[in-house]
Amino acid sequence: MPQGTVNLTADKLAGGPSFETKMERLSEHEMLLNMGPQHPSTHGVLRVVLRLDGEVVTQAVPDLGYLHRGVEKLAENRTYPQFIILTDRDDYLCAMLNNWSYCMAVEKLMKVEIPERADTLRIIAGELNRIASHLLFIGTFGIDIGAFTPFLYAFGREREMILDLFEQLCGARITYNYVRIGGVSNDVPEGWIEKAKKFVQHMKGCLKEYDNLLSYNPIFMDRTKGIGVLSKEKAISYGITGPNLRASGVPLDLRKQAPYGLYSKFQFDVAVRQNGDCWDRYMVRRDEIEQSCRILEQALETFPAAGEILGKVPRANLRPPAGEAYSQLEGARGWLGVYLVSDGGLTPYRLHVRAPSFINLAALQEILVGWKVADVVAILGSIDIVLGEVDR
Amino acid sequence: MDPKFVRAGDDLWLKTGISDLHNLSEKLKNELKFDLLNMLTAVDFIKENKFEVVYQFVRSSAPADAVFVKLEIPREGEPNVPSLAGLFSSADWQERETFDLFGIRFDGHPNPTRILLWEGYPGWPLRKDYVHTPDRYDNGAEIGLPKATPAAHP
Amino acid sequence: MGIIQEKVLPSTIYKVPGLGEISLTTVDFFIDWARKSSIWPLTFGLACCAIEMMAAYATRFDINRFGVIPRPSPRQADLMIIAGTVTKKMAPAIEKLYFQMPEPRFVISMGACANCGGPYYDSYSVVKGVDRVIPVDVYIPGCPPRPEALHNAILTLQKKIDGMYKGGVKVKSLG
Repeated sequence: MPQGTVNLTADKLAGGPSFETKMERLSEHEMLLNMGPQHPSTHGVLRVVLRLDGEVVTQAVPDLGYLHRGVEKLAENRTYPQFIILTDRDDYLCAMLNNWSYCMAVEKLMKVEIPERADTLRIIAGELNRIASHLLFIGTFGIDIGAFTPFLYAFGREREMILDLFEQLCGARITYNYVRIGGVSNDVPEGWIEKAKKFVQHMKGCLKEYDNLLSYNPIFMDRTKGIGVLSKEKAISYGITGPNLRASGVPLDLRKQAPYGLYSKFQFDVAVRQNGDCWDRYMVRRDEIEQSCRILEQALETFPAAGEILGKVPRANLRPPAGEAYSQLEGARGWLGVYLVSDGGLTPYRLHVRAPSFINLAALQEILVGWKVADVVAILGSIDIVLGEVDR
Repeated sequence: MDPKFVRAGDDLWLKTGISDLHNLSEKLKNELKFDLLNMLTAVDFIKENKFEVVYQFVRSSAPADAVFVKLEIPREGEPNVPSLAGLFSSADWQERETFDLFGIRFDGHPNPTRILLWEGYPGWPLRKDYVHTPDRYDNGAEIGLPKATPAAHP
Repeated sequence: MGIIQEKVLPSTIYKVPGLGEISLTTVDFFIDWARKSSIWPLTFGLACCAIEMMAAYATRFDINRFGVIPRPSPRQADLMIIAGTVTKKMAPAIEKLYFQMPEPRFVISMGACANCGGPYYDSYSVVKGVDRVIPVDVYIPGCPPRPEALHNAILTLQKKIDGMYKGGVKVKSLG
């Protein structure tokens, strides 16, 4: 056979249909529908096997692992600074926060002091990245519901402005490798702070535009209000954190209740909604953009005029002392944590990423039951997962 | 066996045994209000011939309060641990992931199957003595695939 | 149909009074021109490169000006852009999708992971390059490549299609 062809009839699909053995036998009017792994609305390679009674979902089983790259095993083969690029690609929509969470764990082990300028830069980069991630959410959630225009504004205009800022700061658009162990890698170029301030003012004006286009659009509200309700108790039991939890009425935000870095210096509110449906999850993220703009304003105003950007960290052969550390921060999707076990060598002994999207997705099995197929898309979109993080 | 308190830095760590795990978790959840099971994973200490299963419980009313629980189990045979999936729904998938990557079985789990790799995958990748079985996608000169290297960690 | 420019097709344009213009050309050139000016890719993003692919479709970079319209079904697509890491669990699905596309079909491998495994080259569950699964026409290096690099790949693919029908390749197949 020529190179590249395959005998499809003889090969069984890996991860074959093992679900049928775990579901009860289908009755005459039920059917199994496979959503994914290639699907325009699953935000990546996620497969959800739906058991349908007509249009209504009676059972939903997510099948993960289509993007499992073995990052935790690779960590044992990379030095501590080398691993930062792999964290970028976990949750590729808010890569700065991923970098930061890993660096926090290593710094906890090494007991490093972070200079104030570096810490402020981390907060500025982190909040800008949070806004970029939520903008992408607004765009793609709109597309899932059927509204194409907000995507062109949120993703094509505002998010590109943020990516331009990042490109001037560290040279990359999506995967930055910017936050390093002990500080950050680059200092701000000339005039960057003014450009960032101008962007923040522009962003605050745009939120009104998004409200007019999408948030209070009657069709959008019809399709998302009251859909996919997640109660407070279930959310806590499933370990859900981040905007999904705040939409169910629990005002939990690590930046307020367990502040890290310099967050205790800044004034902002925690965006909370009470109902726990898709619309609330959307509005919490939209409100979070506002609060991030507030934090950014204050951080840019009080940006230290001079200072180091990297603390006292060995530039080569970085060996944290043997021990273990867990640190977490408030990522755009939930609590992003890294559990690190070191044996005093050049590479980590064990590294585990507490991925918020993986833990948030578990609730899908329960939330989807009883809704129609079109609502499945809305609910999945509103939970806002990134498959790189779910599968690692 | 009473759980032992072990401090590591600023975090509060408890060590417990297999028979006590369920009672301890129940007590943490119901009496002390640590109702969010935040993290569940395992570490392979091949030199000391044990697995350590690590749990982190957090108070949803005050997330700065966190308790870590460590459970040591022997590495030989079929290591197994009581499942917390009945108490905390977040344990469901995290235990499946730990089973998938380490081979640690959780008794009483409602769906003890692999979650990230597929059914029939040979071996437990995150163990230190995992040797990769080449399959039809691994043909040609492979670089850097994990070989069993317990000696690399002195 | 749109306006046919003279320099695109080696042809003669006759002006017919009352009717308009008639252009005479060869079937080979016409088919190649039609195929390369309307490449419709399958919406298929796997990982981070998918975000740059979305940026290439969006307003700032706008790939639609090359005639590219993303289609959700493989039956209606003639290009598959593999954007992201190919894992062993996903590889059979990619094979199936490739064989569901009608011929002539093309594949662009976008990013380091799809080219050769990328930063995950030593992972136990990553296929080291999508060309171990399906044949690839254009490779784009980068991690992730800029949206303009994807545009460059579409233009390179257009150049590749240009000589196809003329060169005697009526339908692109594997053997």
